[in-house]
Amino acid sequence: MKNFLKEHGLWVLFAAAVIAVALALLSVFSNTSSPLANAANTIASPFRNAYTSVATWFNDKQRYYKDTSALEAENAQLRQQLADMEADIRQARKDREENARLRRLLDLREQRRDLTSDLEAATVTEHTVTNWTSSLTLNKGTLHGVEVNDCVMDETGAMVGVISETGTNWSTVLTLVDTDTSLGAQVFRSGDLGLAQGNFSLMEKNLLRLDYLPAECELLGGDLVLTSGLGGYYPSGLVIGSVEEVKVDDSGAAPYAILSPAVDFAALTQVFIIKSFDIVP
Amino acid sequence: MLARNEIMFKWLLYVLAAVLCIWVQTALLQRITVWGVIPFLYPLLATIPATYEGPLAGSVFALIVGVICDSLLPGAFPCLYTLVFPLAGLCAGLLSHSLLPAGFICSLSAAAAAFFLTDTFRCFLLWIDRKAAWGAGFSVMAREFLITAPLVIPVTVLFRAVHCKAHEND
Repeated sequence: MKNFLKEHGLWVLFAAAVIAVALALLSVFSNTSSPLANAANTIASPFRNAYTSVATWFNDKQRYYKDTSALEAENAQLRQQLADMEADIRQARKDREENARLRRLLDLREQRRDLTSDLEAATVTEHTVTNWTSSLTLNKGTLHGVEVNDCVMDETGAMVGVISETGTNWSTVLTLVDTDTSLGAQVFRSGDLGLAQGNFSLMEKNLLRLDYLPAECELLGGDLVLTSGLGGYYPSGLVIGSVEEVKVDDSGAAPYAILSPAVDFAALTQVFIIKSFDIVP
Repeated sequence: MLARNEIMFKWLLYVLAAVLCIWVQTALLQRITVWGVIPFLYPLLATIPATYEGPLAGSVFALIVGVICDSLLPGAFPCLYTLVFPLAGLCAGLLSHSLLPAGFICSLSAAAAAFFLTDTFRCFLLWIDRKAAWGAGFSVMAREFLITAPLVIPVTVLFRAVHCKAHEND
């Protein structure tokens, strides 16, 4: 090797210089990369592509993991947000219904001066508990000033029933169709007076009877029947229901009517207890 | 012959079983309507223990069940169950002592008698009040009994378990 360099070193150096100059001139005058760079990069390119692919794959995986974690967290947050909003919607719907009820009640109070502000809103906590009575249990009792024989109505002014029993924070209402309920009634169109009372045979069908009608009365199906207020036990003008059918009793002399109450007792959720009222002449 | 504390334990178990049945009635059964009526467990509570414990003890237990029913259930006549249930308990006790051994058939018969006594008394009260509804009353009674009859099985099993537990050393 030493001998080779001693003998040909000058030539090798010269050849290297010539090649370097030639490459420099080629790179100056060429529009593309130098042949050496081109060759090097051409050889390196597949390896570079492979490295890049692997790196991209790793980056994708890393990003996918990060994205999935973030999406899962976001999803959980959105689910929670959705649940909260649904709860808000439910509450809003409930509030809207209550608001509508109270608005109707306010209108009713303006129309009905005899109903003093002594009304107690109550929630129905239990419906009929035996097959022999038609009753509702309310969440208000003596603690709220509720007394036996107080009238109960819904927000439209339709009669629900009469308080039959009351405790500290509960009371029982016998509905209009119960056999123990009886109220003075008046037919709105004709002014005929009668006695609306529950009847066991009709109770199951949610109907009641209007008895003691005058013999000459001429009732029509759909006639509205209201409380008469006679005797001052109950306020007048509360809607009992409408005439479903007119019949004559077994003697053939006394007419009576079958009434359909204005209230759907099974669907009631909130009622108003009339704790006191003014008697309007 | 049971010792005094064993007797107390036995009746405590009967009371707990009755409370469980009352809870089932109030929490579940009275929200179910079949053929227009709700199942009514209380007459079973007044009669089935009496079929195991005899006429006297059964009547006293039925009296207590009657007082509880009158306290819990609305109605125009304030002591209907207090009056009728001891009679139903007495009938159930006599039935199991003289005609049928205590068991499912005896419980079913005693329950039928209890429903008949209770609902006939209700119809009688309506009649007294000039609101007679015998047909509708007996229709309700029949449907009430028919939908409550299947419940005689679990209630009998429950009270028989109490009876066996109380008398296991006899």
